[in-house]
Amino acid sequence: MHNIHELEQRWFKYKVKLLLPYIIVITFSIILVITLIFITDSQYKYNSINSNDQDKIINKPIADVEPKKEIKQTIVKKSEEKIIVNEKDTQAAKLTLSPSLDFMKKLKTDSVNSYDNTDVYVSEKFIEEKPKTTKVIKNIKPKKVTSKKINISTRETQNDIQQVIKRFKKNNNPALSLFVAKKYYKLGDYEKAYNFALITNEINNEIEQSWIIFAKSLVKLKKKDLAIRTLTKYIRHSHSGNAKVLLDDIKSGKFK
Amino acid sequence: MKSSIYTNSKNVFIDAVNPKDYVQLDRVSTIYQSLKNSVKKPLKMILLYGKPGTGKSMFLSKLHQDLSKNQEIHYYMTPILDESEFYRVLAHDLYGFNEKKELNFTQIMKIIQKKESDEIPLILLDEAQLYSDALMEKIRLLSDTRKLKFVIALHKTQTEDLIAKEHFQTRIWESIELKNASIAELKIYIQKKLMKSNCFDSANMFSNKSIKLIYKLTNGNYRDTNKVLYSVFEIYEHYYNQDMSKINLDKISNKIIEMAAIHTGLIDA
Repeated sequence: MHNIHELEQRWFKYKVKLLLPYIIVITFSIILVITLIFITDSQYKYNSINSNDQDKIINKPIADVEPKKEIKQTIVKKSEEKIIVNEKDTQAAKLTLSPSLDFMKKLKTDSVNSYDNTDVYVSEKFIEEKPKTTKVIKNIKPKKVTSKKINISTRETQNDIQQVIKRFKKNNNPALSLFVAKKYYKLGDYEKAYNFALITNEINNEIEQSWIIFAKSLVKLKKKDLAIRTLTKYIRHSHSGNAKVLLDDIKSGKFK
Repeated sequence: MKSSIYTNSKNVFIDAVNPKDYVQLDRVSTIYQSLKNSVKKPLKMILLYGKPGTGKSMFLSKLHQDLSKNQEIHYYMTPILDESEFYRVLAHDLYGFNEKKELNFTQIMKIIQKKESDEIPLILLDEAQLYSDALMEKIRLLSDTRKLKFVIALHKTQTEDLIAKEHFQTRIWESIELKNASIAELKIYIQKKLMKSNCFDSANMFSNKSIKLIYKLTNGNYRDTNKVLYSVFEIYEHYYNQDMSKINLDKISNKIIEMAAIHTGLIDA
């Protein structure tokens, strides 16, 4: 009689030995397939991220793309020129707001507009190379710092705004940037209000409030003419009632 | 009792040369008929060759059984390697020579030539590859007298082929090669063998798949097949008595076939 137990063990070893090459090949194939899927997926994601970045770059205003050429000019001059340039552009294409260069730089140094990493890099570089312009911006800053009396409430509001900015950086929601623009406007920080209105407009140029905050901020920054021109253009495009009212107020001097 | 079925089935495959166990397959029957016809012809020698386990011994045994009723036939399953002993045995079996003294070739030739008979005795020599070349040469000379007719069965190996081709080249008029079974023949062989012993249940347990596996393991060799199947039914018998849950009573398990093959050495595990 056989030693069945031993025979079963020998049979089991034989089967394992027999199937081992197949198991190895199958396992290797599965690993290979998973790796290929992973690599393909990563490449797809990488490509889609790159294409998004490219889209962002393309959508950026001219002021963003060519900042160095006009660095030596004053903030006022630059902003005027840019808006003029923008006016020319908008005649051909859709109506969008263009930022003044100095505000964009300011925006970058304040890390408000750092939702794009490349912008942060550019701003740092800019600060190193051109300290003078930074100074000019700093000179303007005191406007937003009003009095010590409202400091406590301002800090809380600033904290709120920073929270919203953080959220905006994550999701690029124009409602958030518009909220920030309004908040800054209320706080009297018209430069930031201007910039966030501009960012909102970049994301969606159909939002009426972004145009209004933009124009209001320009008026507050003593750019009444630019504000009138911008609003006129917008009204021509959108026939917005609110914009017309604001334009009339600016022209008549009710809104200063 | 199922256990006794497995025991009976096991015994069917005991590797023994018994003409009663001869299984008629189409190709084998044709070859056998050809051998019987060759024996009737006035030929001096007939060579039956093939690989071990292809049924040469069974053929000789069957031939001996079938022809012994009608003609003088002597079957030597085991080779008589001593030359003198070989002559003495031949003289005794063929001519009733009872002297215990040693015989040499000259003496046996004299005895054979003296013998006058119409019927030429047929001598079947199995495992002829074991005979020395010198003795084989003497056997050739004995056959030349036309007083004896030899059927020589030997294994087909490279060396033995040389014997067949060179040593007996001019003497062998008929050579028959036996080969392993095909899958279809193997299935018929197994089932006929079992049914001959009334093991119908066991015969029905073999599917084409299990036959294919047996063929793969044995290459259709009858002796290896007998060995594997003996072991298969031995394992079944064991499981039936010890742990019935491990076996399927309706179908021969491939696992058990492989276990049997491992046990018989056909699988190196």
